[in-house]
Amino acid sequence: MLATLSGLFENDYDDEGFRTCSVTGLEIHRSAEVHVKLFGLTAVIALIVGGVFALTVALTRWEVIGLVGEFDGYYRHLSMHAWNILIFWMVFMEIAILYVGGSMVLGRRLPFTSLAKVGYVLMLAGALGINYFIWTLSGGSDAPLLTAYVPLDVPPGFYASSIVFLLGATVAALPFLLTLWYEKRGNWSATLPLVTFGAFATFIIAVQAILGGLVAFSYALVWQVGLIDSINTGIYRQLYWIIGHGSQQINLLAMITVWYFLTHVVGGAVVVSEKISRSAFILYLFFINLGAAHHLMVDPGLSVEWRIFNTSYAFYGAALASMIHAFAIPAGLEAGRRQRGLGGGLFGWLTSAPWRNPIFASTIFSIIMFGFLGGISGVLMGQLQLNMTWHNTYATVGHFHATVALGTTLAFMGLVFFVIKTMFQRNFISDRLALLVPYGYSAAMGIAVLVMMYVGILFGVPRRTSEVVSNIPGSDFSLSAAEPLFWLIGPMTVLAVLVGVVFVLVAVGSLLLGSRTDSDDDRELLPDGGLRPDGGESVHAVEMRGTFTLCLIFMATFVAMYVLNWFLLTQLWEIGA
Amino acid sequence: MSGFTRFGDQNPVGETYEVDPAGFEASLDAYRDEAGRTSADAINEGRPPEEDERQRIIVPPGDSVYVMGRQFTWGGLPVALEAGREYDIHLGARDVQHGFSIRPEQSLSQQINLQIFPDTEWVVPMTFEDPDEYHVICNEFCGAGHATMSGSLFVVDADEYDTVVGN
Amino acid sequence: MSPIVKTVRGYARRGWRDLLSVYYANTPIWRWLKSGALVFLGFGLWAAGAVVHSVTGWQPLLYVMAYGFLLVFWGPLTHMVVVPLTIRLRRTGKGRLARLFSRNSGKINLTIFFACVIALATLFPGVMLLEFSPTLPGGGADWSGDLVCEESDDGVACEVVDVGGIDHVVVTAGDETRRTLEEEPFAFELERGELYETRTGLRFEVEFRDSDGNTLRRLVERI
Repeated sequence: MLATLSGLFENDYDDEGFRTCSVTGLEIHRSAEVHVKLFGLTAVIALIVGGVFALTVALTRWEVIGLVGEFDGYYRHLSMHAWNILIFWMVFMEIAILYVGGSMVLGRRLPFTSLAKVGYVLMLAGALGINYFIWTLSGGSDAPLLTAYVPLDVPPGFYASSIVFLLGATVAALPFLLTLWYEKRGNWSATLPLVTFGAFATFIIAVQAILGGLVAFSYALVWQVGLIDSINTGIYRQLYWIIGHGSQQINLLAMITVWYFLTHVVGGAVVVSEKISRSAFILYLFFINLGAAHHLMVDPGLSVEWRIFNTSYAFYGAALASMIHAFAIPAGLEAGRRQRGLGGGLFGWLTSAPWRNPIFASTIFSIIMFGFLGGISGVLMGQLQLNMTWHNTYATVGHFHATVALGTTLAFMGLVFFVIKTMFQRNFISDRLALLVPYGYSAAMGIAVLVMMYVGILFGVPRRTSEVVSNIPGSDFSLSAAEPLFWLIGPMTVLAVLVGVVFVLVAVGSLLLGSRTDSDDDRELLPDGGLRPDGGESVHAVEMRGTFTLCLIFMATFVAMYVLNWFLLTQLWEIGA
Repeated sequence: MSGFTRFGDQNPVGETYEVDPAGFEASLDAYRDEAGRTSADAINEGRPPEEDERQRIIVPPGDSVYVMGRQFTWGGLPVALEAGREYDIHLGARDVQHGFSIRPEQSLSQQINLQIFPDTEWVVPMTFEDPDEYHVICNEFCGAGHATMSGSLFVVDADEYDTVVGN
Repeated sequence: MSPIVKTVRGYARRGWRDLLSVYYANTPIWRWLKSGALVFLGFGLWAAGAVVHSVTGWQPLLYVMAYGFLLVFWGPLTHMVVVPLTIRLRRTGKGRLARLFSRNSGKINLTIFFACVIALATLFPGVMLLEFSPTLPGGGADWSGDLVCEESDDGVACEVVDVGGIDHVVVTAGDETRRTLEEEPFAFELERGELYETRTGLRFEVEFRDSDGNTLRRLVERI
């Protein structure tokens, strides 16, 4: 058993510790690869734990089943689901992505691996601590959920564990920064590859977010243990959402970096404009964390001007950046494939693509679902007045499941499959089951997410509650009118979790039982013509009208949803000064 | 949308005051002492409340309405308001954060949500046009028992209001 | 013909040709992508139409809703079944019926589809309408009771006033049940030592229950 596990971390390295990847051609050092595998595997374990609780939460909100009751620990289950999936599955994976985007793409060793190990241990300790303090809640203690809002009675150990986790993430990210430092010191004027540039932007956003989190949790901790007498609810919320939304922006940038990487390696995409894509990353740096205030739009005590600046104007800067990537990535795929002669007509470049490759399918569905479902709902929710109809409803849950559970998770699942093939050099134990993952997950989760948004906006079903559709205790009122839609949400979320199980089985099974890949398998992974084709016209001469059409469809959907939501708002009674 | 704050009718905007939760509760109690009472049957049947009826529904003495979220009930609810009249809804909380989520019974898709803090009093003016029973649910997690937190706000037709509240 | 008109006509012609080529595209991935996109479009139109209809009552919205509602099934049916069948019949179909069908399948399919949409919206709209008011009768809860407490040096004394419809009251502190009271006015006293200590004070919880043991109200008190 131990031999199998340690065998997973071994590849054929030369005397210096390097090997050349037979798929990407990258020079990979053992120090980087071992740590990528370590953080990646830990991320998948967190996904499994979070996925178990996804099932219990889904079966409770489907009140026909109502698995875990209000007083039987529903909120503990919800907290376990939130932290394991949204934070641990994501952040462990993102450290791995930093090491890939840094050391691997640049062909360097990972410097100061001791920092990587210390960071890992701290992150693991923090994660285990958080799981422990949530699971052992009793009596009068309140579950933290994701946000641990003061002044709920959350155990101090929870806040302490969060601080340990964040410190660990900071330490684990340092080798990435040092990699860039050494690279730049050696060659100051050379340009970093786009993927590395994206990873660097991710790192900067992460530092901003983590600093905010450390302050927020320390503030709550010193109050919880009695070192300060009182705590201000609004200030905690503002501090919390720096990490609360900041962590989601880390997910966004990491996911976009993965999109560029995988569409290139597996789909044959090129970068249509380095300047445009890099400018978009820079826009994120300036605007995205300001936009975190969009969680505070229906909070008392914040001026209208402050709320509008942060959530409208600042966020439009970030939204512009997202639109740039939303065009550049499919355009890169279209231009790259047309250059290779792989696409005729409007969409031939897309339909001739390797859809039977689960890595490609995961990436493309991630892009489509994130954009149409997650992106549009995010901008809508972020309008000051529209927020009143979205805040704390199930529509919010639909939004962040579209972005994180569907978009980022699917992209990361594709990345795990890619890592299995290239770093662990194993074939899938079942190609069919591997292919089921992106198709099945997008279908099930996509429908679930769409209907979640409907029940939130159409019926105002609240989030963060165990029972409201079948019955509100002590009242004759209930949101029973929404029940037909829950007959879609319930089965679809359960189906999505089951597909997640298939993902884990394929991933773990392939690692343990899969055959070694050979050069034929490597070639199948790459697009026709290999990674860098010869000849073809210049990318600037290639048509991109397929992408343009898709963007027009996207904008049409956006405008329709925008108008619809504002119209519904104006049908309400008069509210506000 | 900053333009909408000028020409739009639905904005999450209102005066905020820093308060002590106990202080807000005192304001709520003073308001309740001054307030009249009526019954659900009186509202449903469009008549004055009868002596022997249970009269649990508050009738605001003026244009201010106090709503205080606390684990796990809404202080100040149920309340009866007049349709078409602007009221100042004073939102506050006794202990932890709560979510003020309100909708009319006959039109569930017309719903809005506001956050309530325990150290803040937020005065949000509202004018309800359609007579109906509006249901308030808490949609911010506030502890185990949060799912039981609901209350009612009755909006009565302007022609019937004076009769129904017993004036 | 002016150049502008020619350009616009050119775009229209190219657009129509692209639309036809997408409609008849038959590879596996095309079938899935088209069906998936139509499912999402159908759902979206149905739900959006439903919510706008619930606040405005506009008749034409029923047609939008019917289109979306049927599209969820008809879209995949067309692109997974009808179009592949058409292509196959066009290549290999022998006999007049097969040729007639395969040449006109697009027109036949869409005619039947839109006929169904119009029929649904005009004759049986109730099938696809969502209810936007509670399906159970309302009227407010028919129980009442207010907890009144007085704090003293030793602890706290409480009772329930204006009682109606409450069967029994359970008093807990943290996980421990401290009192169960069966008779009005459900009065009880607690000593400080019996309460649960938290950062925000000593707390206890009072639950009003009905005769089935269901919670009517749960209150958290702190001193």
